[in-house]
This record gives sequence, structure tokens and C-alpha cells, in this order.
Amino acid sequence: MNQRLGHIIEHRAHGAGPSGRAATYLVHDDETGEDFGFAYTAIVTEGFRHLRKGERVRFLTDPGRPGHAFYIVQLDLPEVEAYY
Amino acid sequence: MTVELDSRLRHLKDELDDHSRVAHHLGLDLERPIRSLGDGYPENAVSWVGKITERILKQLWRHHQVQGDPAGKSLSELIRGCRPHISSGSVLEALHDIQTLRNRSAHDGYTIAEEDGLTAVRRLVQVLTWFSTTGSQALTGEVPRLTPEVAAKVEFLAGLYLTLGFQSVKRFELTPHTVYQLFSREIGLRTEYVELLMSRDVDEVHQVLDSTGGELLRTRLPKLTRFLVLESDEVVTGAFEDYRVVAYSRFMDTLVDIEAHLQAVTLSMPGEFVPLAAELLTAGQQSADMSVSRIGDAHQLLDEVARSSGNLLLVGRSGSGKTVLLQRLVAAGRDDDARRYRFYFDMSLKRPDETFPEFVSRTLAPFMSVDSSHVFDVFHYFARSGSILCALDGVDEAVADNTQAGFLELFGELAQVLSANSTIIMSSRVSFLEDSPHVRRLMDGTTLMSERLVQQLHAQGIDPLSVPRFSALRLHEEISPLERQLTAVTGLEQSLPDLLWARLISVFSDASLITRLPRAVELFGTAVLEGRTTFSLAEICNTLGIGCFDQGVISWENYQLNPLFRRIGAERVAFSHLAYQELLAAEHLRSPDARQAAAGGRLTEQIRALLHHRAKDDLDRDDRVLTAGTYLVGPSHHLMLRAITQPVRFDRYPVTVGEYNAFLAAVDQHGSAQWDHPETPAGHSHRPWQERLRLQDYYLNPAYSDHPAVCVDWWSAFAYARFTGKRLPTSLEWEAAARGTDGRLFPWGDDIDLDAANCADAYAGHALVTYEAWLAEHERGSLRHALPEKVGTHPRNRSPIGVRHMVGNVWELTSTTLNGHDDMVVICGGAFDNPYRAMQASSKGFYQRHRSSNVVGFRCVEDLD
Repeated sequence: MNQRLGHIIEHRAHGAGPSGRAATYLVHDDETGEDFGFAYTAIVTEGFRHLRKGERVRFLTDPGRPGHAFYIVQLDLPEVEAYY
Repeated sequence: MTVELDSRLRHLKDELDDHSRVAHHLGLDLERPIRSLGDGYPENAVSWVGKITERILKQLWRHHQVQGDPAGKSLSELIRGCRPHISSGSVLEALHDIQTLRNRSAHDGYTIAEEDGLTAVRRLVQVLTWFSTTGSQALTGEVPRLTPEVAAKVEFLAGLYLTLGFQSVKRFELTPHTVYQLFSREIGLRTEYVELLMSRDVDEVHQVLDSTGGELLRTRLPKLTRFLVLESDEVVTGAFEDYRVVAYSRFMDTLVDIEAHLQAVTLSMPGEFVPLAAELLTAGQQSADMSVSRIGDAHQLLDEVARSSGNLLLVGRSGSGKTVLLQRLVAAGRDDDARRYRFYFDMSLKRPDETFPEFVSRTLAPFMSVDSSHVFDVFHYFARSGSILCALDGVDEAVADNTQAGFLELFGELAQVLSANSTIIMSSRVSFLEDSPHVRRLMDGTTLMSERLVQQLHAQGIDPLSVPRFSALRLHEEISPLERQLTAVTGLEQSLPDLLWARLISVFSDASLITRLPRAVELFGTAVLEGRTTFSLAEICNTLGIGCFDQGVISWENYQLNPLFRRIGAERVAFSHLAYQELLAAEHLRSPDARQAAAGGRLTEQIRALLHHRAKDDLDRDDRVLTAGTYLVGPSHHLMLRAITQPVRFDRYPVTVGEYNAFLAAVDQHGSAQWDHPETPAGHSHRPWQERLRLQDYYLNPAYSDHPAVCVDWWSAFAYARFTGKRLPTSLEWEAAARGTDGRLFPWGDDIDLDAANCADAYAGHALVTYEAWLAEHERGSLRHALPEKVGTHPRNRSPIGVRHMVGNVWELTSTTLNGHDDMVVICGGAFDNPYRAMQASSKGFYQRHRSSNVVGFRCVEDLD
């Protein structure tokens, strides 16, 4: 897998309904200009999964699955004190 | 070109000419930067220096077989890759300077001055000089004449004298085992010389001298600076009488009095040997994932590391024997040929205003015969070249700012002594290095690290993947050595905090000082919150009274509380174990006034855990009233004391579907304008987002009327609260209500109880410790049936003031907006599809005000006078 840096360019909050298909995102690779899609479950966190448009992330891609991003890591998480 | 510049360029050109062998081997034109400067193009000179440096680093990269192909790598990547293999601090600094200048020259808005170009060339000369002088064949490609063992020793000694500010004057490789080196340095008007003649034994030196007619010894340099370095100790007379003869393995004795250092640092080492069970975790070269590679006795595992080299983080609970382990390891160097020079640093003695180099210099200066300005440089060189073992005990106690960022700032300082060859053993009660699923499994739940750690390491200039050969040794005794020791002394079988408290009471009682205990709680408790762990006997006398000293004599021997302390130098003392002082801090924080006064103090996870242990029964009400006061909040790596100024009463449960339907009915009848937030978007509906609901009849089927209201956004939650005459809680109120006054991890306490909450682990049937484990369960489909439960389903999920079901089930919206982002609101407590680790009372996330989700609900609070 290749590690890349990019930012979120689109967030589609689907009406999930019983299917559980909650949200999909598009991430833009800042270096190559390529775009990749991923489901909310690809966000690496133990907590709440949500990304804002414009948010910077680190992610992996797999040549075997073109167009898909995995292991999305948020790079702009707020400092602890910002939550209080 | 000015005359002055011309003269400086000629000087630099002469210096570069000394490295023609390197230039020839690597195909470098070392005159290009000089020509560019002479032609008046300093930016081109910097660019050429950058290119030459890249070429040198690529050669080093291949020589040291660094993973990956150096072709196409940037200068910064090349420096990072080669860094673990460069033992000289000055070379690393020179490379950094070259990189900085190169970056500036490539930046449009920055003008490169003539002086910048000269600096770049000088730094290049420094780099080349190091590799030429230390005799490394990495850059010359020459067929080595010396045996590899001798070459390594010669390289080490040459590097040492370069580190001390000397320059190489002569170097003769006389045989594969015999080398002559002459170094000099100028201090003011004085020139100092050091001659090193190194060989296997004195017979071989005689043979070499005979063949050269004894010319080598006919210098007239000061006798004390002439060394004959041999493989082993030999009595030498005759021609070498004015040489100082020393075995190579003892050469560092000429600079360091290691015995005096050991005597100074191992005073507190107890005699009894206790085996300690441990797991050794090592990181993979590529992924940096850590896995258990060995299980065994910690002493033995550490001894193996000392022999084979490698950097290690020793992690264990308080009292698990880390200090004794390290002190034994260091003392064992006396009788060991493998890294017999071992240094021990009690990191708790590092002053808050002191850098790590300053601390090392202060600690080692009495034992080193070098200028004080060179103490750290020499230690740094010893450490990075792998010549010594260095134990840094209690690195977590040296963190000035007890936050994750504070840990990383310290680690950034310590990391400068880490290299591919170094043997640095750090100990800590919490892990701030490991971001690994395997380590997480073994670590306490509260010390878990996230990807954020990786980012912050990067911010400190450290690439987590290139921290060289770092492994972890996790002590996992069921009963720690400190517990065993205290059980033996007190005759009690209790938990560690209770044993520590019993021991404190016993020592104070035996000294007839029990009435002074409250003052001791205040003195020592306040001090540790300020980061102070050592005390003068005079200070203790002034605060606790002269009665603390037998016969009124202020001395260590007469100090009646000394069974709890250890001596630090002649006049100062510290607790024999920091846990005693932290326990007193916890006791101190039970007082509301103390908590208020301590806001902004240094709170550790250990103090929080002890506070919970001591104070868990202090608050047990069912009125759901959060009173004004100071509360402990924040994740374990960033604990804070924050004030609640106005009391509020929490709703016992989150708002239910039935309650929300009543609100919708009222909205249908009266509209919602009187309850809406003034910024509510036009056309907003308070109806739940039907399409998103996982259960389509959630708001219609009476079976769900006692379930939490979800799929409503923050605007609707705000309006609902107003409809009931209440409001949403702030994130601080929410967390304080969940944790009470003792700062517990979960509303019910500190213990992990999978039956107490609705979380993903329960659906999976096992603990989901890592993201990978959660993802696997999600993909397997076992979380597909995860749903909110009726509020109040888990009776144990109750806070100290009687608020129910705060963690798990659904995240809860608060009125707090994320600092700097008005559209983002803070949510608390975790939901049914999160793993247990996300359900601590401190767990938080953020969500946009207009969004709604199956996992987000809310509850209300009522302001009280």
C-alpha cells in the first residue's frame, strides 16, 4: 500500500436506512491530484467517525483496488482543551 | 571579488582539496561551489553544496544498507535515513544547516547572501572532514588496510577527538593492526596535541618502530597527551616510558571516572534479587508494528539487550521494579566486558527549566575530565556510537507539562542520543512511544496512544518509523515488587494504594508525628503538583516542625521520616518512591479548596487513579445535581482541573423517543419559533431524518418510546431543551457529572465492565482493542445488529450523582462549540457502535450542528440557583 497526504473534498451523507450505508467521502491527493473514495468505516479512530470538507488526512491506497482509500488518519484534530 | 573573500575562498578550497579521494571516488566536483561564490552566485554555491551532500548521503545510505532506494530521495529524506548511522552531533548539525540553506535558496522570496554560501561550504567541509578523519571507507571506496576490528576502534577514537574540538594532523596506517594518529586543537594562543599509537601489543609496536627507525617517537610533544593503546593491559617500559599505556577497553577511563559515577547513583539499590516476569516487544523494520518476541525474566532480557545493543523502553506500573532493574543493569557493567561504561540518570532530578543536555552536563561533570562545555558532546558521541549503555530512569517524571505534547517535547530532546548503534534504556510508567495494536493490548487502557502521537513525533522532528531499533519491555507482575515489599513490612494484604497509605501512617505514628500528617499532605501534595519532588531538610523542618528530627538535629540520620525517603546529595531528600508523594497529592485533592487552588497544576494519571481510590466513596448521591466546584476532567494524557461555577440538575436519562414525539406534537400545534435558536436555518424541520433511521419505525413503534431520540440535529436538540424549560449541558458539565469529584474513568468507577454499557465489544463477543479488530468485526457483519437500547438498561451505568446511561448507547450533544469552529459542537460519551475504549467519561468528538445520526442523541440540564 502507498501512503499519501490529501484533503477531504466531498462528504455525501446518505440516508442510511436499514442498509447501514451511512456516509461516503472523497479525498484529494495533494501531490498527484488524484481523487479516492472511501466509506466512513475507513476513518481510523476509536471514537466518532466524521470528517469535515477541507480537513487534511493521511491515507493509504492499494494498486489492487484503484480509486479506493483506506486507513484515513485525521491530521487536524483539535487540541484537548478545544473540547472544553 | 573582495580580497577578504578571495582569501577565505582559497582557504576553503585548500580544505576541500584534502578530500580529493572522496571527490574522486564519488565523482564530485568540489570546486563548483567555490567557483560559484567567486563568480558572485552564492545561491548556486548553496545549490551545489546541496547536490554534493545528497551524493554523499546516498553513498552512506547504500553503505549502511538503509531500507529502500536512495535514488530520487530528497535531501531531508536522505538525512533522516542516514541519521541513525551518524554518531557525530556536529555532523548532524552541519547537515541540518545545509538543508536549511538549501531550502532557503530554493525559496523565491529569500535572498542568499555571500555569507550563506560560505557557511554552506564550511558545513560541507565539516561533513567531509568527519568521514575522512574517522577513516571510514564508506566515502573513499578504498580497499581497507586495517582489519575491520581495528578500523572500528580507530574510527571511534578519531571521532572522540574531533568531538573534543581537535583536528587530525597526521595519520599513518603502519600495519593492519597498528595506527598512528596525531590531533591538535588551538585554545587561545595555546596548541594542544594528542598522539595515539594503537596496536595489538607492544611487541608489534617494537617491530613497526624498528622498521621505521623509531622516527615516530621523536616528536617533542607534552608527555601526558601521548597514548599507547593496546588490545589488553601490559606493563611497558623502555621506549614508551613517556606514553600513557592503556588497554583499548579501558580508554574511556582517561575521560570518565565511571566507578565514582556508579557509587553516586546506585546508593538506593536493595540487595535482594527478585525475578520479574516481562514481555519483550520488538518493532518490525517496515511497519513498525510491535509484537511479542520474547517472554522471560526482565533482568535476563535487559542483560541481553545490553550485550547486543538496541534501544528499549521499559514500561511497568508504579512499583513494578523498574528502578531496581536499571540500577542493577548499570552496576553490572563493573564486571562485564560488554559495555562496561554504563550511565544511570534519575530523570526525576531533571529540573523543569533545564534541557536534557544541561541535565546530563550537571550530572556527569564531576566524573569527567573534559571541559564542562564538552561534557554533553562527549556523552552524546559515546551514546550514538554505541560505546556505552545509558539508563534514563523515569522519563515520565521529567515531563514539565504533563500532556502528550509535553511527553513528546521531552522525547524529542532524548531522541538526539538515539542511533542505530546506541543502547539507551528508558523507563516510564506510561508509554508515549508505542502506537501499536500489539502494545495497546498489553498496556493499561488509559495509556493508549493514537495516530495523533505519530503526528506529534513528526512535529518534533522525529520520524516514528526511523526511531532506531526501539523495542519495549513490559513488566507484568500480578503483584509488583513494591507491593511485596510493603506487604512484608506492614503485614497487610491489600491493594498498592492501601499499602502505601498504611506504610505512611505507620512511619508517622512510629515517629509520634501523626498529628503532622495533614501538614505533610499539604506540603508534599502541593509540591508534586508543582513538579517538585526533592526537598531540603531545612524546608521540611520549617513546614513540619523540628519534631521531625530526633534530638532537634537537622540531619538525614536524625530525620524520623527517613524510612519513606532517599537522600539526594548532602542536604536534600526525595520520597523513596514517587508513589508516596503522589498519594499525598491525591489525598490533598480530596479537599474542594485544594482542587480549586491546584487548577493548572501538574496532574498525572497516577495521581488521578490514587485520587479515585481514596475518594471514590466521597460522593454518592441520587439527586443528579452537579454542584459548583472544581472537577478533574480530560483524557489521561491531558488531565485538567476545571471550575463549575453554577449548579445544574441533570436529566436522569437521555431524551427518549416518547419525549421527543411529545415535542413534535407541540411543534405541530404551536410551531417552534418560541423555542428555536436564533440562528436556526430557515426552513429547518425538527422531524428526525427518516431516511437515515436504521429502524424505519423507530419514532412510530411504541416499543421504542423509551429508547434515546436519535437522528435529530443540534438545532432540534436545542429547541427541545427550551421546550422543556431546560438547556443542553456544556461538555465540561457533562464530563464533571459523569466523573464526580474523584475523576473516575467511567461513571461507575475505574474498572472495566463490559456489562455496564451498550458498546461494539458486546456485539462482537470480545474486546475490540484495535481499529483493525473493530473493522474486521464490522466487515464480518456482527455490528450490523448494533442498535440503541432503552435508556437505563444497564443499572451500573450510573454516575456518582445518579445520572444514568452516560457512556455507550448514544453520543450526547452538548452546548459547547469547538474552539474556533462555531458550526462544530462537542459530543460526549461514545455510542453502541464504538469499542469500549471510546466510552470513557472523557471521550469526546465533534459534529456539525446541521447533521444528524443514528448514534447521536442528547439530554438536558436545568439551571439551579
